[in-house]
Amino acid sequence: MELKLLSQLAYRNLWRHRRRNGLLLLSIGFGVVGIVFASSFIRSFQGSMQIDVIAALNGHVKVLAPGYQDDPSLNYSFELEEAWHPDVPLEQVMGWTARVSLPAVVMSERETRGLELVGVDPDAELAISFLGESEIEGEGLDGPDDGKLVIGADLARRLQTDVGRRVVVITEGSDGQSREIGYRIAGLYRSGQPAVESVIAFTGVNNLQQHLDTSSFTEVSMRLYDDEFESAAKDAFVADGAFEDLEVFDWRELNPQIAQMVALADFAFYIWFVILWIALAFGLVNALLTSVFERIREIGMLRTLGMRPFSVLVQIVLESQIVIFYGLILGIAVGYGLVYLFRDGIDLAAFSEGLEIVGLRSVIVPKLLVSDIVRLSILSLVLGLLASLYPAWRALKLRPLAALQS
Amino acid sequence: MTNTIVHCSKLSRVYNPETLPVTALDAVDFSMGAGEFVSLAGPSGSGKSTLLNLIGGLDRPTSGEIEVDGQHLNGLTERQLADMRLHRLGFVFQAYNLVPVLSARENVEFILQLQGVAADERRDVAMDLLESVGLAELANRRPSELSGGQQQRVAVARAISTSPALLLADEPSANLDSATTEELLKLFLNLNRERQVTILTATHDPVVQSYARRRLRLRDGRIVSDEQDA
Repeated sequence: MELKLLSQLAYRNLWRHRRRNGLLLLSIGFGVVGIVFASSFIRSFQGSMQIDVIAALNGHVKVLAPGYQDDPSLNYSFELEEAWHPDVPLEQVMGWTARVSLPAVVMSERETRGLELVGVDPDAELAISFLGESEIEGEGLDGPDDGKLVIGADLARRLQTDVGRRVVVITEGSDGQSREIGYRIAGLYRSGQPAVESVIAFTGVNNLQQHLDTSSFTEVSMRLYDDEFESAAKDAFVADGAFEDLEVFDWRELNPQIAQMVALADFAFYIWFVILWIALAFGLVNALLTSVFERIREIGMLRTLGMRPFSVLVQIVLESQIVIFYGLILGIAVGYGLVYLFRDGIDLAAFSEGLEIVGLRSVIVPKLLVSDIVRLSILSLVLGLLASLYPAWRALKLRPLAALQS
Repeated sequence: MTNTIVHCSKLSRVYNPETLPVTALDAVDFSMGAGEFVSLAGPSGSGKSTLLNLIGGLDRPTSGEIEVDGQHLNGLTERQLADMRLHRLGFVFQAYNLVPVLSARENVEFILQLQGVAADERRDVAMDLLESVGLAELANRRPSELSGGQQQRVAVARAISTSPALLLADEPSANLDSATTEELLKLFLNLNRERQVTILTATHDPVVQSYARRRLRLRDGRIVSDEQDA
């Protein structure tokens, strides 16, 4: 009952100084907009980093032979029965594939460069790697038996070659001897990640195995619909008899730097939040203190009539919570509007070289997470409550008689 | 023999006892019974407001005992004093002191709301009291939309809304013109006679004193006279 009365008093008291409290509400609102928009950027960076690294032939979970990471060659490959399929619920699996991936040297008429030659089943790659999403100039691969080569547009530029031209790829066969394989460049892919485009070339996996005199694979990769299935999928691979004596990694273990950056993005949210809220808290404390000092006599009267000291404290805290509540609504609404406005992405091409270094795309699509909004709201109300405690304590300490006589 | 509502024994209040002692009340003995209408008069600094504040639990005595409606105030915590004021006392201030963001009716309901009285009952009590002070039609106006006299009548209605054991009024007519003062005093008299409201008022105003049935005069912190109507 008394809480209703205190809420009513707090709400109406805020209306007594509309300009001051309106400005306070606006400052909180704009602070919240800043946090919402910044967090949507952070989430976008975080999401694109994670998706790109998963799509860059890692998948969520990957199986490798021990030693392959240190010496990627067919010495560290493994056989896989044709009938094998992952023991993971189908509804969790976006796709899986087995590949042969080896370091190689590619020579055009003009240039020689190192690359990673990857034998793939192009149909399987559609669902799980960047190859399926890439724009391809020329032809793609027709199937696992296809003997053509698809290289990145950036690699073609560096090799000063083009679609339809021939290149020679040198890599190591199963016997440890070098193999020179002549390829016609069927297509150039554009993944939006120049760092990937410059080093990865694709050909049909069966065809590559024939060239290398092997039937084994160097990796099995699986992509899932959601991160939450990752742990169980990894456990299923570890328990799978087909992968006995092999190593199972998740994408974080394969890319610890990116994983750390993704984790850092969570921390960045709190840094933004704390910086903005420290600034807002000063304004809030100042406004509430002013409000308390203006109402000393009134607070004395309320205490004289029998209002308990704690109720005075609650009233001041409620005033801050009401302003913050409306500031949150305003800020989240405007922040959501901005995110919607930029839903097609913000082109940061001018900084794209710098972004590439950390594995980011040049177009950032702001991404708003409900969990961030909930977290922002709860933290704002809690910090607002803490900020209002000092003014409320000042009101609490007023002695009724002294306040009445002020 | 009426019930004793206020009993003060050897009540003293000394301000700044350590530095520059000022004795506001000096070993005052005072009692008043239920249904009395008592005025405290005296020059400024005589101790009448101090006595009122001590009885109202707004200040603490340097020495002596105070008992209000059977409860000893010495040693009560701030919260206990607040509860005592809420449940046993009504206050009328010189400056009306209504809650500016509440309407006249909501102001009258205020103390009932603090006591946790149900909304319907509160509303009925408030409207009855506003009717009795002649302000039912202005129930929805805020204090800023009322005259001084009207505000003071709302304050009186608020003060008696919980049927307190004692109504304390500190210079209730100080901000009112003579006609409005007469109206207010008739209201006090009416409350005292018809509702048996016990009233203790501190005042400079001889008109207010003339309405009281018992008149105490203070000087230098001591009661120098105590007159009662026959």
